[in-house]
Amino acid sequence: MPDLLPIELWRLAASYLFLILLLVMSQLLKLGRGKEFLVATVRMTLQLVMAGYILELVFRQQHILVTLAIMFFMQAFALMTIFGRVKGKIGPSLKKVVAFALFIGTSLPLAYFMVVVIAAEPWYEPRFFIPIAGMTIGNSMTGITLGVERLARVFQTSRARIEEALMLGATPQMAVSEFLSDTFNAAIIPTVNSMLGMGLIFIPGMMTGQILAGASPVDAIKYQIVIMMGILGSVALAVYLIIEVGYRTFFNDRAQLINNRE
Amino acid sequence: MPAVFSLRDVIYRKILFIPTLDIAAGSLYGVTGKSGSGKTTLLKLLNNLISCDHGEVSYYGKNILTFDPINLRRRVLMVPQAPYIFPGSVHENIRLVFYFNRKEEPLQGEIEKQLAAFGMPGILNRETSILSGGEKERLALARALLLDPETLLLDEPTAALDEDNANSIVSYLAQWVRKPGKSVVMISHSGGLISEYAGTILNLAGGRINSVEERRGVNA
Repeated sequence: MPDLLPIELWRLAASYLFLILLLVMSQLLKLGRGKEFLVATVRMTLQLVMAGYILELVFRQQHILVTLAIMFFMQAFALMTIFGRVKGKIGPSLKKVVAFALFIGTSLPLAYFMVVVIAAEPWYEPRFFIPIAGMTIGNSMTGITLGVERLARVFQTSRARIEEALMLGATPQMAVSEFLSDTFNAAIIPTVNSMLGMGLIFIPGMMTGQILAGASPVDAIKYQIVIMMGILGSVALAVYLIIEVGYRTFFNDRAQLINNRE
Repeated sequence: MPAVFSLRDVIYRKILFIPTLDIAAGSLYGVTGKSGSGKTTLLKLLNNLISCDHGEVSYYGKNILTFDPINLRRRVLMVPQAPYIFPGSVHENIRLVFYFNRKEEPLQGEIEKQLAAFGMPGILNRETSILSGGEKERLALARALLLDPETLLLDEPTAALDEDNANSIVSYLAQWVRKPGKSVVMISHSGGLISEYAGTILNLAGGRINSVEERRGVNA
């Protein structure tokens, strides 16, 4: 395997030329967003430097609790991002379901992945566990956000239709089954679409990283395939939990529709 | 005559206040009142689509909270004002409500007969998207009647119908309710039709009972 080409500090600094280019364009176009671009770049740099040093430390420690703590931190951060996106649209009971779906939907596939697919030794080997956890949690976060937003919208816009099915003797599950399939599709489609273009329209970031780091493209592909499968499983499980458990929060034990918003 | 529904000390939010009300079984029971008088809320309470905050609603003497809510709704069907007609054909609509009720779909002849009785012969395979407002209303009633419930709760079932169609539908319901074990509670703005066919007329005002008029000797 060829060695990783090290980037010297001055070359790293040279890459910021692209930021200067953007700032100049922003000035020419009178966008007035120069500060925003600067903040985004500084944040990206600081966050990555911090993540780099933390990961370096964690990789050296190889401690199960530290590794799991990082996973919980990522899950908590994903949860906060989802709640921020759906603020005011969902009530406390659906929020609990979101947390449950995110936790189960990412932890179970991750465990399977580490133990069966990668067969890492130890199973929580941070060098594999943390990046893979990041990818599955990040993708599930997108799927859950799409799913929960859609679910909340269904109960808002199709209330009369659902209520009518109930009046006619339908169980809550019968009354919403069509909407649940639509919601599942809408939430899972971005993941499936990204699989369709993979390798042809774009080379995924992880694979690019591996190739740059000196891995053979064939090895990088194997990793990319298994990781895509892991992501697919994780998104599917999380979204399935959201719709199957989530729709129940819109009904009470008398099979009546309830108002489930903040 | 025993009561199909009895309400005692019923309060629902600030919408409905009914100290006592008995709805006679085996009759067409009319409910009138201005918009916002609590008519639809009353029907939803009877269908168990909502539960009262205070008091008790009974079905044939048994508190409706003791029934399985879905089984109760299969026995006490409600057709709302401006009913929703599911996409697809007329036949698919009927098939769907039978699926909702976990009941075997009737023979095609029986369905055709019911549709013809409501002035819609030969429309079984027609797409519901091209039905008129009046046809949709009649289809909603036909699919509810085909399910053969014990009790029908109808919210303005003739609102989108012309006078002739409205008259024939209500006269059909007045006949239907004479079958053993059947009852109809019907909201109507059409005072003429209600007074012609209803055995009793309840008038609501501001969520309270304004009057209960027994109408013996009418068509009902």
